[in-house]
Amino acid sequence: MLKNFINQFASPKTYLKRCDKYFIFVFSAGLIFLAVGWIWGIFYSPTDAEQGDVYRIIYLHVPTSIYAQLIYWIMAFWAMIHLVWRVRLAAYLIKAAAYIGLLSTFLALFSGSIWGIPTWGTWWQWDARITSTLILFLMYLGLITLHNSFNNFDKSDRLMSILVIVGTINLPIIKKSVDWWSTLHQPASITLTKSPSIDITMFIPLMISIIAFGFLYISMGFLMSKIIILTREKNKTWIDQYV
Amino acid sequence: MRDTQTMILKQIKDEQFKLQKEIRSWLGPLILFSLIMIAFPLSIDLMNIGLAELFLNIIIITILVTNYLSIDDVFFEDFYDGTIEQSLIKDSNLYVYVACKLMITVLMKILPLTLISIVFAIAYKVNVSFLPDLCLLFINMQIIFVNMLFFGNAISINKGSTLGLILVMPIIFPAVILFGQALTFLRLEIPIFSIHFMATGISIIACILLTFVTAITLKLHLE
Repeated sequence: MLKNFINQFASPKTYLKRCDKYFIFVFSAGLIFLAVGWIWGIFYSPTDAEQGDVYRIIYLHVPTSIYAQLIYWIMAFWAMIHLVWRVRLAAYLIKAAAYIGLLSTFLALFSGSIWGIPTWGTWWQWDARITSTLILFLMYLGLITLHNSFNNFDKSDRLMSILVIVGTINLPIIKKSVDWWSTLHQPASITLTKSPSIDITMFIPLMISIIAFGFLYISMGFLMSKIIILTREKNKTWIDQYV
Repeated sequence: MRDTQTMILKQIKDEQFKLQKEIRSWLGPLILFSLIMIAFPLSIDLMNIGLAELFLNIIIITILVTNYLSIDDVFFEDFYDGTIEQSLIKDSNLYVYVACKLMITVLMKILPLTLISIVFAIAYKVNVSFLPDLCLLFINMQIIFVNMLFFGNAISINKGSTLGLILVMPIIFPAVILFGQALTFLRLEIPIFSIHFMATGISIIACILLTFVTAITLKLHLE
């Protein structure tokens, strides 16, 4: 059953059909959740006692930061699948995820810089969390550069998979940087093991925003992977039937 | 077992012989390092900053740049003249080849560079009690850098070493931060035994795991 599942999953043709089927639902869900989360967070959440209304950028910054790291873990999982089982689709998904991870990391850094100006008095600080997030941004950039620099796609897929797996050593450092070093960046407000340190009236729209970004990134992943599959598989006969 | 030992010894001798003949590749970076270390105090107004402080500020990046130059295209010649292919045919994996190259790099590039760094540390009037810590830090630091740069060179073997450097720099940065912290503690005369233990552990793991990953990456290029 597992083998059938993997074979089915491994087929770009089946995957494309699933993309087409689910894209509109996922994208719509993302938009709805985003609208609810942001309208609630921006207009109805109370003002923060210390930061005033500036804190509301949390509804962009926190989801993008979370997904910047999560996407890399997902890429590492697919990299394992690609290297072990030689599943071509996994390589396509890694490439698609790299672009989305790059965007998410950029948004995290950009929104963090905007937030930093009124709260820290500076748009940039070489502290642990910000620097390690910049390193993550450079890692995504490096992966895309590596893949695009080879004409032999099979080789570049596998090299990218190897580099993704080696790069995962950075992720615990990024995650724990605010705990290990005394930094300007605040410690994590949301953790899996403790109750959140922010008020529930701010926490709920934040969670809705996080779910919204998840759906939106999945829908972007569908689009990106579709483009990559259509490009890479363009010489296959099933593409003519599909298009 | 005996055959494997003989093979490893032969490989080490070959690598050592090759590197000895390529004087440019190991002497050049050492000379460049010395030039940088001599030029730095000349370019700064020494009334405002102490020499020892300056040394601790610049040494990590200078060593990193020197390591990059000394490992530049380390696999390039062997890839194109068929040496790597021959090693693969003989051994069916390239682990021994990469491990021997790493060993010779440590002996003929890292250790001399560490010694020269210590000489400059003395010249820069760094506190003599820091020298053993500095020596151990520099060795561990370079082993980690060299392993990462080996991996970078392996990935971009036919695309130039700069691409490899760009790819592995984000992974080298945490090591740079760690050793920077160690030097800060040293400056404040805080004991850094725990950092030495961690760095030694990381360099051992890097030697074992990254050698394996580098070997796989080289094999990939040959397939």
